[in-house]
Amino acid sequence: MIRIMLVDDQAIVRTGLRSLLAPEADMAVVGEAADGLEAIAAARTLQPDIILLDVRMPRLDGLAALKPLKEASPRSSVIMVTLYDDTEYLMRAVADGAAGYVLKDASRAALVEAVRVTHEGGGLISPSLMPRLLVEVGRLLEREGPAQLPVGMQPLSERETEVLRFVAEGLTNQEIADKLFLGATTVKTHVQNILIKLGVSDRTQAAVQALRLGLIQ
Amino acid sequence: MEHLSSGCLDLDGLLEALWPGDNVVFVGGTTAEYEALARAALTHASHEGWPALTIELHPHLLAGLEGVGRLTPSIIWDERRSALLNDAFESIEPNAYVAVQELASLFADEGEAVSFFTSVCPDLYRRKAVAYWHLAEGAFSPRALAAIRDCTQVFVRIEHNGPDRIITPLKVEGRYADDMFRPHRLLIEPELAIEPLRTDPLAQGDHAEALLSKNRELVAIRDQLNRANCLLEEQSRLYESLSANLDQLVELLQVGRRIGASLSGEQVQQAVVRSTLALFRGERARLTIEGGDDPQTVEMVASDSRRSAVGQTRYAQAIVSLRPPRSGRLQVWTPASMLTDQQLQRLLEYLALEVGIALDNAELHRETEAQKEQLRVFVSEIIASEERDSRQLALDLHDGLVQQLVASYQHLQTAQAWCGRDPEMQQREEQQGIDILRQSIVEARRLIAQLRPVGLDDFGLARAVRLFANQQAADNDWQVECQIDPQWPELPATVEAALYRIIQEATNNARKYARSPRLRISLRLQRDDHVIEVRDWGRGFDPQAVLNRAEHGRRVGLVGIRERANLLGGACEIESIAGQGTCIRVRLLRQVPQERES
Repeated sequence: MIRIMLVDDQAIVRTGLRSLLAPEADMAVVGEAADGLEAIAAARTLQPDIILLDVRMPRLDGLAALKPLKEASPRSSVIMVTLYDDTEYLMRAVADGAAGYVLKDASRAALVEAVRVTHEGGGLISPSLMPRLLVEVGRLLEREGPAQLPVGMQPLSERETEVLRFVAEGLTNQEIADKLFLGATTVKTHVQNILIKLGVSDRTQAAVQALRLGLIQ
Repeated sequence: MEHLSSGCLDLDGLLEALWPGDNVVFVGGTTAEYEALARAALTHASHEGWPALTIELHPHLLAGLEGVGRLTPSIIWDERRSALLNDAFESIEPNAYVAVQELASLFADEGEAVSFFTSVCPDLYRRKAVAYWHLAEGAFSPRALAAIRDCTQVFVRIEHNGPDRIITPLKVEGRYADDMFRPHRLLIEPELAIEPLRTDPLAQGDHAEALLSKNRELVAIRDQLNRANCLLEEQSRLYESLSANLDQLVELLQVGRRIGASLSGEQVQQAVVRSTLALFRGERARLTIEGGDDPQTVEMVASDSRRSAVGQTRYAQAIVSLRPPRSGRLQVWTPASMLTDQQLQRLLEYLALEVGIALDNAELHRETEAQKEQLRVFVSEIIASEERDSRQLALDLHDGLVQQLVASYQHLQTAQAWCGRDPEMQQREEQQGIDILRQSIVEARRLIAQLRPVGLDDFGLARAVRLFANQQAADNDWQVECQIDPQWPELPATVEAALYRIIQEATNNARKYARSPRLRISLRLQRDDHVIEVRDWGRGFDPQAVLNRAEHGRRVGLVGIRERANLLGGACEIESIAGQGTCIRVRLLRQVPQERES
């Protein structure tokens, strides 16, 4: 069961999203919040798998809420749900911990797919966008200065590092499997291990973390 | 030798030492006088070694002059007189001195004489021959004399007045001396040489007579000298007063420049007082301005030792006329001066006139600047308010309409997802989507109405105001009453839009600030005016205080109403009493063009 939390200041939209997800038997909306502050508090208790986060909200908006939200619930993957197709927002969001974004006028199928793919450690961001995204994220991360490896982090195996490089290029599990002559399931296991070792929630953040730690260029 | 003098040294010198080419014409006088003058000149010429020539009817007159040639009268008396005369003159060598007398008798008529002169004189002039012409008094008409004068260089009249001969230069081309044209006396013999007295007893009677006569002459000379002296004194007094006047004139001009140089009221006032002090060499000057927002008195006291002894101070004041409601007064205290009281007064009044203009200009400038500033504030407020409005509209679109559309889209998609699986859920989701879509239509209509008053274009102001009032009553749950004169005409679209905005603004103000339970909007025709009025029964306020605050960016509404009314050429009245409510009234003249703009 994928546990989902909805964050949007408009009740009407939260109701809409809840309806959208209701037909999916493996998904459950476990909580709602109307702004960033409410969201942080709720996430701390609920520790949801997926957070659908609106950008424009009163008190604390989605972008500003991202980092504290990830601190309150590090294993939650955050999908930005926004009206605006603006890659600048996306860059900022990914740098601050988002897995990706969906537009509010995306089809129901696209939203459901996004939730499921993210939850399963799949990539939400299109490969064509990934290199540019990482350059941009790298630029944003430079300001933070180089990060230290988390204390007690298990080092990645050679194979895992190889897989991570392809993840950062935006390749899907199947594509990585084809390249490395492995089974898709094996790749999926590698990705899960990478996520655990890096202490991140999803593929996007795995790439961001790899960049931050200098594991990839 | 007899000496003939003009009584004026410059003139004497001129008559004796002419310039080469001069044609000298004597009119009147006797042959003797003419001869004396001509002889002197011809002698002078021959001494200088210049050719000199006489043409004489009476050969004896200039007889005995050495080195002076003669033209024989027989040529002149020839039948073809003038032609031969011309020939004769053509034979005169350059630089000659020529004297001709009693010319008139040589010509058949005056016309012939004039044409003779106009041909011969320029010719002699070109050849640098000096000629003395003598015309008997009365021989030519004034018109002929004028023609002759035009083509000669020196033109002199000799007159007799009792024993005196007066010689008057009527034209002296190219050379003037200051006293040349002054009336003067011609003196003739015996060259001021007073005969020595002889003491022969036999001749005592004669001597007594001679003494008496001499005495008379001396008295005459003394009187003449006295008169000349008086004249000189008068001249020097005039000169002094002229130069004093000039100084004052220059000062007056400078004053004009100083007070006109600035557009700052304060600087003009300072300059006026300083200049008044300087112009009148005054002890104290004061400018008072009353009746405006800012009554002022500027006073200055001379710093130097101009102060006069007590009791000698003179005082003058003049009204400075200014645009109402302002008026002014210019006062000056000055020691006794060259000016009479009347002159002092006149000068001060003239100055006051200039001052009035300069002060009015400065005031107008100040008003214009204030209006410009007010307009600038208004425009920046309008821009800020428009900016706020579009931000509000974007926010309304984002938070309202778009979210509703998104939600309805989500429900309808969900309905699709339930299709075939759960008809009840499908129907529920469809219904929710439809309900939200309907809300979004209402929302869209509301937003459009905010942008452009519903019905204003299609039905005119009266109907739009009614709709607005109904909408207000429905939306905000208060009592909104509408009184519209049935005769209220259609007005140009821009005017109607502006009036509508005024009503909208006034209503918003009443709703936001007055907290009034009821509101009355009226459109009335009053005599020649269109009057719109928005009245509430709310808290009321101090209009001036609010307007002042509004100028610092707050409560844009009232300023907006006032400025819109001004732009329409109308007047805005705001009446408000704390606790009793507010009435905002805008009055337009009825002469607004009646045709509607499309």
